[in-house]
Amino acid sequence: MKRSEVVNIFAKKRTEEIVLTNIALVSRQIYATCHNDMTLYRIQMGYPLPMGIGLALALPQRRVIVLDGDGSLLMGLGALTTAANENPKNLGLIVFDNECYDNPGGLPSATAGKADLAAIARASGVANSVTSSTVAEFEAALDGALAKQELFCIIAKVERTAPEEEKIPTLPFDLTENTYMFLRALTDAGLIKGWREGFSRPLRTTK
Amino acid sequence: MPEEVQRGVAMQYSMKNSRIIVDALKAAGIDFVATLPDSFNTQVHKLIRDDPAFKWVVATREDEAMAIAGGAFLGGKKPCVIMEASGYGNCAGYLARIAIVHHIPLLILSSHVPALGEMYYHHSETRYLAEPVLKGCGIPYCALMRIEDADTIIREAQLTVEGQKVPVAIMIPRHIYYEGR
Repeated sequence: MKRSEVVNIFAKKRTEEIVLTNIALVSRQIYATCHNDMTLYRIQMGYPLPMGIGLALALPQRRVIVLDGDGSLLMGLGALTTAANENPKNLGLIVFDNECYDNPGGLPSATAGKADLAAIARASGVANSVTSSTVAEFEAALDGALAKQELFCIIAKVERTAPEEEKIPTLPFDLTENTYMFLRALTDAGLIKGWREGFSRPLRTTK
Repeated sequence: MPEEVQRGVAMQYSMKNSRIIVDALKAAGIDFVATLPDSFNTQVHKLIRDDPAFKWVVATREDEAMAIAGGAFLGGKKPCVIMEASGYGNCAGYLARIAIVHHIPLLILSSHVPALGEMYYHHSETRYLAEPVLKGCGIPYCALMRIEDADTIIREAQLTVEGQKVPVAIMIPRHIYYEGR
């Protein structure tokens, strides 16, 4: 299946979830289909899942969904074990597994060989881990996961980026700006206190 | 009997100093600690693990701990990463690409080698990476040389973290964590 098909299904079902995306093209596809300011984009390889763990632990009242890729998750497989042991029930991981490093010409990743990310996730302790290879399978897996409050991992087997997918515009803000947008959105939703000038002042003694 | 004694060396963890450090973290508002534990800070971790004022998360790498802490910051926590100085070798990418570019601040407590006292060459060489990594990323840091300064330095560092929204590292040498010779 095409990555855009998976993104479109996710976009259709996204409601109030906080979303973190990896650095790959999926970030631009999410912006184009279901952007809201509770989205942090283009997180460096290896870090979307651990950042999602920290965010989910800090905000247990809100679901956090991490959109990652096979190459990025492979850089930080240990985080699957941390996720499993911490077991935040409001955390979900969706991995777009195209079995390659797409940008550098499609050179194969480990999942093009013997690695099975859903099996690795299950062996790490994320029991609710499945692989979906068709649009119908992905939609069913996502519906099932969203219906429960349980840590989940869905590996979506997708094709390499199609030429039309490459045409999606880049983000209209930079990543520092994105953080401020994100924090402002969480603040406006009453989820965090947010930051402001003199944020650290309460720490100072006034005597 | 001391709870844990370094092999072949007449020194033991300073429970008093570990308590001072944990109390200083609490006074500075820290409520979330992500870590890859290190022999230097073992007692600090045990105190934090057993204290309900902190959420304590053990990661598999130091940079993973930083990313978990970064996520916790976004969710409104006041996080700290406690780690061994050798871990900075794993963390340059996170610090430059996430902490700096995404502007996600973080307090870091790491062990410290250039203050002298490290007895093992195989430890020291990796820990000497710490300051070049911090300098390369433009991250403020200092060494806690006297336990009497712990409360002040941790409080001021956290003020910088929150006020300037940058990572700040406090490096803690062996003589703070251990007593004896």
